Amino acid sequence: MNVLPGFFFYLLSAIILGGAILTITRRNAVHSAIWLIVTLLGVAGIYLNQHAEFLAAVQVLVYIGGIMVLFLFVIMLVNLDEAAKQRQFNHQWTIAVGCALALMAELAYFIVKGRESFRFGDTGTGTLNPDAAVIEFLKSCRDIPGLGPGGFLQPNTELIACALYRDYLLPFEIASVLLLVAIVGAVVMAKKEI
Amino acid sequence: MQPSDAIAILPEIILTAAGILVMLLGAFFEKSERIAAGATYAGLIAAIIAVAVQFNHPVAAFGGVFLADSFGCFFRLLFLLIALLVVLSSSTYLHREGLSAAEYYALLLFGTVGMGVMASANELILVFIGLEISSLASYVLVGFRRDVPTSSEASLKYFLLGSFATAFFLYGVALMFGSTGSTRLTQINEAFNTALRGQSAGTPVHPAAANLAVSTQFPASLVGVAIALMFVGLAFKVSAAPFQIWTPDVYQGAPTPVTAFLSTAPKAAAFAAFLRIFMVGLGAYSGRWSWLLWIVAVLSMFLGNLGALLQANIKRMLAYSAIAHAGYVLVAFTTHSADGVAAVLYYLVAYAFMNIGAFLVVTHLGGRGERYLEIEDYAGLGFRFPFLAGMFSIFLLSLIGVPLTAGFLGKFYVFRAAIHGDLVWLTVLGVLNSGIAAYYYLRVLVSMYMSAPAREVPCEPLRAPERLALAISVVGTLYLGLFPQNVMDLATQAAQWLQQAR
Amino acid sequence: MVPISYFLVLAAILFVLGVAGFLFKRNIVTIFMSIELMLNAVNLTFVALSYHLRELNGQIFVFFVMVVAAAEAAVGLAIIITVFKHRESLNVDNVDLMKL
Repeated sequence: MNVLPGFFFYLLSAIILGGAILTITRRNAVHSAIWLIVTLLGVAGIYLNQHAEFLAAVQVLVYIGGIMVLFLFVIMLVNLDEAAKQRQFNHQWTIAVGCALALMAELAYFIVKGRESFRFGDTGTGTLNPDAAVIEFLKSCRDIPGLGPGGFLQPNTELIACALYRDYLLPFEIASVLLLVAIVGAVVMAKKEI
Repeated sequence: MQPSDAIAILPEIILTAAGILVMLLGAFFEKSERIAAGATYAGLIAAIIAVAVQFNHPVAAFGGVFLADSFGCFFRLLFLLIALLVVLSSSTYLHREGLSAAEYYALLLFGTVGMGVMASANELILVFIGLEISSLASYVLVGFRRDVPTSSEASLKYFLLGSFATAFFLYGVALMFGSTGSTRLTQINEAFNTALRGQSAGTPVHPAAANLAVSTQFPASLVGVAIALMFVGLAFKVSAAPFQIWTPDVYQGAPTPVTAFLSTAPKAAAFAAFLRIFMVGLGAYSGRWSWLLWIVAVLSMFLGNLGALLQANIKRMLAYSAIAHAGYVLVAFTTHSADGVAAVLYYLVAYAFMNIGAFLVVTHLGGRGERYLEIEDYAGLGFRFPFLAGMFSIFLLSLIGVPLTAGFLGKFYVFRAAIHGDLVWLTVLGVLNSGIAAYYYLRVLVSMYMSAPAREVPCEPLRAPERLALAISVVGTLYLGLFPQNVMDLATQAAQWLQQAR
Repeated sequence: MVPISYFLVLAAILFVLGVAGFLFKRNIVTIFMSIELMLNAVNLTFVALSYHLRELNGQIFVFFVMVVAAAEAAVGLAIIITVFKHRESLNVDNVDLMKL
């Protein structure tokens, strides 16, 4: 019983890191994009593992189905043959490797040093963000077993919906301005004649 | 959502509606430039009135996610004023360069919405979304001259480095969420205070704070790395050294009115978020981050001023000077006192007036296609166009910090706050830098009044909107230099509000 | 149970791989992909911490990061196309019109 979560974690980690390494080392941009998709799928797997089912679905739909398709589309649009022949890494790659290693060492140091500090929540005593009123409301909609404070963030999609439209209504609305800016910006930049 | 919530974000609603209206007008009218500009002015003025009314009636809207307090309102007024000046100064430019006015104004308005949200947000999610709205609008505005290779190149550089910095900021937020269990600034502060006071304190307000209170050890190292990562992201946005690499290229490649906008509004917005996050959210940890600010402030002043000495292009010179001015603002920030915050706010207002004014003159003299941007093009300007040269001299003198101008009092308040905060060395280095800075501004002044023109630089007469923008900038610069009390009172009020929020 | 720190270390490695890709790749599209890797590392951190603390905020944050990533991709790829039109190349080393 106890072996299984660990096994899945290591399997997904291998997929994620393998995909990421191949993403940044492949010469051909299309190959990079495909390996990035593998990484994103692995991340979606971790989301499922961590009880974020809604985000796992969004990851597959929006990230892989939307963003990565856009990437592939652009790669097709621009000239790839020439890029594939060129040197893959830039002149400063030694500095880059040094910076990356320094950052890695720094993060590893802090996380290892701060390891004990994660004890504070180990017992899982945290509570759900939505308060009693939301839980009552959800219970009145349909019968959900195991819903309540100290639960497992379940039912995930319903709770996210409640939080989005109740506590985070303003960010949700403001995000529409963001999307509008993105639409206008993309049209302004890419269209031939405005 | 309650009616009071809608009133709190009324300026943002007005601006968004105006932005959409401007785009629709642009689509339906053949000669839409004037109509679009008119709708933009109307939207901005309506929003200014809406903010001014809110100023003395602070409310926490949307369950405390959005705080329309005097700190937020101060910044929103500043952004609206900057947007108004930039719109005034760019109508002629857009016409001359044959750029589509409607989209330009709409993006400017949306960017202002994002900045307003950033300045008033009490929730890191909202800070992030506001930051992204203003950034995306800026990326596109920088690349707005699509036919010019330098413009799209600048846009690409800004975009890639900006997204890179945003990722760092987000990673910091994630670790901050891990150590405090919240992304709301006031709750983060409560969690810290509870943890620092120890377990004997009263009942914690937030469930996550309860977790911290029972923990045997506070995740201090995790908080440290979270602060560092958020610091990197925000320092990039205010173009502080050593994260300033993008600034000269982006400011040079962008259309000049956009450069004026970038160097004032998004920078002020980033400072607003910076102040709110560090003073409110991380106020209890000021000992851990104030030395970081010290180093970054000194580096920014030196790199900015020394870099500006070497420039031949006036836009690049002003870009380097923008880095140095960010350094002066950081000097006041390092004190993390109410005094210091008030000085930051005052300096940002003063800088907005003088810098937009200076860039307005640069825009006008640049001519079609921005051909005359070298400092030697300014030789003999004092004889050929005495009025423009006079205006430019006032702005440059203010940027140096000569008495009777806004720049002097801005620097005065900054260094006074630093002295009160026992930052003697920082003050000494700051004053030293003001001396270095005088050199490159004076070089332009000397060449304007004391050397013969190197080549013929044509110059059209100023049009009405430009005259108005120039007049507002000059009056603002001189007013802030002679009668600082009104603005300083508002800044102090805003700063005290920020202190209370802790 | 897998300890929370394992997830955080996984995310940290992913983040550093993104940083490394950003710093030493030459193709602009791949550099942009490295930024996506970094954002995914951030999301991974949020989700793991969210489950660990039993706090929904983290998942909400991830949702917004995804929205922003989509918007950023649209604008960013449009900018890349514009740059490509000017110089028929996607090599960052060629983006050098402005120098000190």
